[in-house]
Amino acid sequence: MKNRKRLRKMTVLSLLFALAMIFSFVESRLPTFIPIPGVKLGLCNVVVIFTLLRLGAPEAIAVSVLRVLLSSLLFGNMAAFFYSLAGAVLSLAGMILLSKTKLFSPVGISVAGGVLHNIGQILMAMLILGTAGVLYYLPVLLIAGTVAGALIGLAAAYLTKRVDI
Amino acid sequence: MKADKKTRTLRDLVLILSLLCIGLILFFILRGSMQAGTQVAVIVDNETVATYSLLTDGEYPLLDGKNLLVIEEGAAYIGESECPDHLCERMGRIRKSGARIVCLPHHLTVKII
Repeated sequence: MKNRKRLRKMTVLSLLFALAMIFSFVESRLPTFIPIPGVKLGLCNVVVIFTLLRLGAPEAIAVSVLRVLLSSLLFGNMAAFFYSLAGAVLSLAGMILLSKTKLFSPVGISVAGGVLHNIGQILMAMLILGTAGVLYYLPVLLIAGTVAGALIGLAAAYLTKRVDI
Repeated sequence: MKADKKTRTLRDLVLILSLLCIGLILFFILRGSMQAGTQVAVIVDNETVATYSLLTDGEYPLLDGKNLLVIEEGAAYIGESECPDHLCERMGRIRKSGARIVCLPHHLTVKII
């Protein structure tokens, strides 16, 4: 019985990871409609939030970090990997903390995740470029992160409510 | 349970609106502090490698031709880039001091001073 449960969890996690990879690929094919580095929808976060709320923090960390690693290798480059990782780690940390407090719905959690993802990328850009100049993009990235986060959060809230795993 | 859901939605809205406000305020502070610039600086890895006057039109290849800087009618833009995302080409024309175009893949910043 215990084995069956473990097997089931492993299968579900693998499926979620595969789904995150598909979203990554779709997103890498989408045209960027705002020409500022780091502005994107963050489709994968639907899966990460779903995993976080339905399975737990360690599972969400696994899906997110593996996703960043593999999608950078497949669809991006090593520079993209560092930006994505910084964003993903900061965003995950914030979302896990917020979900523990139970103060916000998935939409609020996702908004925080989106904004923190962009802040993480700016911090990494400051580190790599060695200049605070990239802070110039902070206002736009804050707004973009909030809007994208809210949209993704709505999708994640709907899924978490409706989809049974 | 229902009331709890409502307060959570309210908190979400407060979070979203305050973040949007912070973003907008920062945006307008940044815009307000900008004045028309006279020169454009080319910065690679935090070192200014060249400066050009905004007053004379011209085309300047940067980084051994990997990016092309174009100065036209007092504005600067990236005409062509070999980088994978081509975002810098689409960032448009900059003319006010402090405005910048960043090409992350090439560690390149073009900034009005």
